Amino acid sequence: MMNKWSRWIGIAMMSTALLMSGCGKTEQASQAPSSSPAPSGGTQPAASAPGEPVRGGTLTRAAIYGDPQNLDPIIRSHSTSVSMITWNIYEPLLRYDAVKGEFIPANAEKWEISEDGKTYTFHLRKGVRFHNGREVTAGDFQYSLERLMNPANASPNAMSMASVLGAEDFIKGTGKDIPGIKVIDDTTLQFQLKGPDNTFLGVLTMPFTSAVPKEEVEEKGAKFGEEPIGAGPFKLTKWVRDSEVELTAFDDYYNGRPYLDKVVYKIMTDQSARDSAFASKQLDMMVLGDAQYGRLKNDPTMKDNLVEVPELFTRNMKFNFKKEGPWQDVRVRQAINYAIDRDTIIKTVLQDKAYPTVGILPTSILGFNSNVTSYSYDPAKAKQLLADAGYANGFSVKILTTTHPAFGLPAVEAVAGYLKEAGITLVPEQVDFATATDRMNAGDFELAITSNGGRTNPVEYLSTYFHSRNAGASGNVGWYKNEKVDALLDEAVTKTNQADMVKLAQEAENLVMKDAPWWPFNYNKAVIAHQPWVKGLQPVPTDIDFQDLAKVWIDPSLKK
Amino acid sequence: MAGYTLRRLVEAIPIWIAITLVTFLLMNWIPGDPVAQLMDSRSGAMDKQAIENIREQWGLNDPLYMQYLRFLQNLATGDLGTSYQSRANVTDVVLERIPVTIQVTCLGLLFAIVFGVTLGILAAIFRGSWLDSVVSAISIGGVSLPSFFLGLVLMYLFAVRWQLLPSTGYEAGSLKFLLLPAVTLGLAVGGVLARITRSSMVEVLKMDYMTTAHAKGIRHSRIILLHALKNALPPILTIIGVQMGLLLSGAVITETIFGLPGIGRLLIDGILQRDLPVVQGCVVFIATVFLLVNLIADVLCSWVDPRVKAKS
Repeated sequence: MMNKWSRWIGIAMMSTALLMSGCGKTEQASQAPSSSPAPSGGTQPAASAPGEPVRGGTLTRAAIYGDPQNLDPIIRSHSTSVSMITWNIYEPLLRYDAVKGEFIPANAEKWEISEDGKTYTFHLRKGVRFHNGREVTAGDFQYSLERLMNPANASPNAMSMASVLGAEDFIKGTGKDIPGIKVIDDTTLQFQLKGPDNTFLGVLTMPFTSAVPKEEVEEKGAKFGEEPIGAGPFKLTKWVRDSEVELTAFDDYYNGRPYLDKVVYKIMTDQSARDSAFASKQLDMMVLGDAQYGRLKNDPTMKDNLVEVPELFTRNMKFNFKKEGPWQDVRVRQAINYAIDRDTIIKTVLQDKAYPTVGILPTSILGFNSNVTSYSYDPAKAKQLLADAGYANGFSVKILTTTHPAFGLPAVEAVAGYLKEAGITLVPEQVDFATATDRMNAGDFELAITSNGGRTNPVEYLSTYFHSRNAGASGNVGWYKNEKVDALLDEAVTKTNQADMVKLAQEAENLVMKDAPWWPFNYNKAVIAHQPWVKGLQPVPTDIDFQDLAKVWIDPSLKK
Repeated sequence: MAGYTLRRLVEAIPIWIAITLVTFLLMNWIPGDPVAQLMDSRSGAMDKQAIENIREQWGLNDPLYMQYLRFLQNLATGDLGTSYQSRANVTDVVLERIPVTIQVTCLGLLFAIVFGVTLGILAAIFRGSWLDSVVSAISIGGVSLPSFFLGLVLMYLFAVRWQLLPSTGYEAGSLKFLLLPAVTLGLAVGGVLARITRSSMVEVLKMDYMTTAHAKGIRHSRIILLHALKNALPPILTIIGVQMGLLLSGAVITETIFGLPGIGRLLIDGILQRDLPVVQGCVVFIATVFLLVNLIADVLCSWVDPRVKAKS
C-alpha cells in the first residue's frame, strides 16, 4: 500500500519538478531571442576577401534561438529563428539590402508608385519558378496574401498588410475579399492603399508576403509548414526537429544557382555547446554571445574572422504613463536621463558589446540624426531638475527586468547605482522573459527595461513605440501620447519623397526625446564569428543572422 | 500476471487526470500569455487584432474548465491537440521525439547499470580497502556533479580536445551522437546504483548461507554473481525503477546541452513558450513511462523474489 502511494506522489512530484525546472530556465532561453539586437553604422567592411567566388561546399551555421517550428511563412511571426531560414526558401516581390539601405528587385523586376502614393504596381519577372517547377504568377501573390490575411489562418503577421484597401475588414472577417489587391495579368500585380504609406514596400520584402504555390498548400494542408515550397534560392531538403535544418541550392533559381551546395542550420541554443562546435570546426559561423565577444576580439587569429554591425534595435528603459508616479513629470524623466552614465555602463558591464545611443533611431537606420535632442551624463543637472520637480529627497520606483546580459539585471544594477546618487531608489523586479512581455503588454509595471526595434523604416520604427494608436501590446507599452508626435508620424507615413519623410520622422524623434518617455540605452553590437574559408558575409543591420546566403561562398583553398 | 498488470494500468487513469489537471492549472497560472509568445520577440510588438483572431481560433476565450474538458475529451481519443507555436499535431510531435529520448535514457540506464552494479559489487567484496574508498568517491561524484557541468566537461574532452565524438547534434541510427549524452545521464544514476548495490551486497555477504556456499566449495565468482547478487537484487531493481524519474528529468538538461531532439527539449521549449498542448503531451508521456517502468520493476521483483508477490 505504502509502495503504491509513494509512487503516486513520486510521479506527481516528478512532473511538478520538471515543470518547475522548466520555469526556472525560462529566462535564459527566452531572453536569448531578444539578445541579438544591435547597432552602429554598418561601417565594418564585409568579410569577403580577394578571389572569385566558387561553387560548392556546405555552410554549417548555428541557429541560436531554437527550432523554427513551422516553415510556412504565415504561421510564425517574423523573428530570427524563422526568417533566417524562410528568407532563403521564399522569394518576396522585392528584397531590402539593409547594408546599402535600398530596395532591390526580386520576384518583381520593377515597380511603380503613383503620384498620390496610393497605387503600387509590380511587374513580375518571367521565369521565376517554385521549387516544384511551376512558374510564379501574379495570381500566386494574390492567393498568398489573402491566405495571410484570412482570419481562419490566424497569422500573427496579418495586420502588416492593413494599409491595403479592404484588408482590415477582411482580417476582421467582415469583408469577403480584398478589393485593394488586383491581378492585372499574369505578370502584373496592383495594390490600392487606403492612403499613402511609405512603409508598405518594406512589408513586401518579408517572407510572409512571398508567394506560395496554391496546389502544394492545398495538397499538404498543415504539413506545408514541414514541407515548404517557395521560389527562393534554396529548398528545404531535411529537417530534424530541434537538431538541424538542411537547405539545398535550387538549380532553377531565377538569379542563377547559389554558390553553396547546402546550408545546414544546427539548432544550438546552448552557448557553451556552440563554442565547442566552433572550436572543433563543426560550425562555419555563429553569432557571438556577450561573453564570447571579449575573448574573441582579442584573439589575433580571429580578428579577421569577425563581422560586426550595430543592429536596428534600441535597448531602453521606459516609463509607464498609465501608472501614477513622479515620472509623470517630464523633469523627472529628463533628470533620470541625465543621471545615468550609459557610456561607462556599456564599457564595463557590457564589455563594449553595444553602442551607446544618441536618440531613439539607431545609427544604421535611414534617418539617423546625430543632432537629435539627447541627454549626456550630468549628475548636477539631474539633481537640479529633480529639485525643481519637488523631488529633492528622491523617491523609490520599481523596474521590471530580466537577466539579459545586455539589458537585464546586470545593467539595471549599474543604473540603480547612478540613480542612487540622484536620490532615486530603483527596485528591480526580475522575471523571466515571457512574464516580462506579459506584464509590459498589460501595462503592469512602473519602469521596464527591454529591447525594441527591428524595423528598417524610421517612421515605422517610431510609430510602433510612440504613436498613441499603438498603445499597449502593439508596441507602445508605456502608453506614451503626444498629439504632435502622432500628427508628425501620420504625415510622415504619407510622404512619397524620402527626404520629406525623413525630415518629419526626425522632427517626431526630437519631440519624443524632449518628452523623454524612454531612457535610450544602447544599440546592440551584433557579431558573427566565422571560419576563414567563409566568404561573402555582410554586416546586416536588421539582424546579422539575416545573411543573403545566395551571395555566401566557401573558399576550398582555405579549408583544410 | 496479466490481471495484475491490467489492474495497475486502470489504477493509473486518475493519476493521468490529476497530472494533466495540475499541469493545466500551473500553465494557466504562471504569467506569460501564449499568444504574446508568438510575437516577434525582438521588436516586442504585435497587432491587437491579430492577437484577438488567434485567441479566438485557439479557443483561449473560453472558460478554463471548458478548455480542460476539451483537452480530456481529445485525450480519450488519443489526440493531444495542436501546438500553439508550431501548429503541428502534438501527438505527432511527441511520437517523433520519443525514439530519441528512449534511446538516450535506455543507453544511459544501461551504462548506469553496468557501471554502477560492477563498482558496487567490487566495493562490497573489497569492503574497507582503498578500492572501496575509490568507488565511494566516484559514486558520490557521480551523484553530486550536476549533469550540465559533467556534460560540458565530457564535451570539452571528447569533442574539442580529442575530437573523437561530435559535440552536439543527432542523426537517426548513429550511435556516436548518443554516447556522450548517455554517459552524462547515466553517471548520476550509476553513482546511486553503486551505493545501493554495495550496501545490499554487504548485507547479503554477511548471511549464513554465504558461509555455507563457501563451505560447499563453490567457486568464488559463482557465489558472488549467482548467490549473492540474486539475493541483493530486489532493492537494486526498485531503485532502478525510481531512478527512471531521475533519468527522464536528467534528459531534459542533457538533451538541451547536446542538442538532442527529444522529449526533454520539447518540454523545456514548450514551457518557455507557454505552449500548453505540447507541455501536456510531454507530461502525459513522461508519466506513462514512469508508470510502466515501475510496473516492470515490480513484476521483475516478484519474479526474482516470490515473497514480494505473496505480500502484495
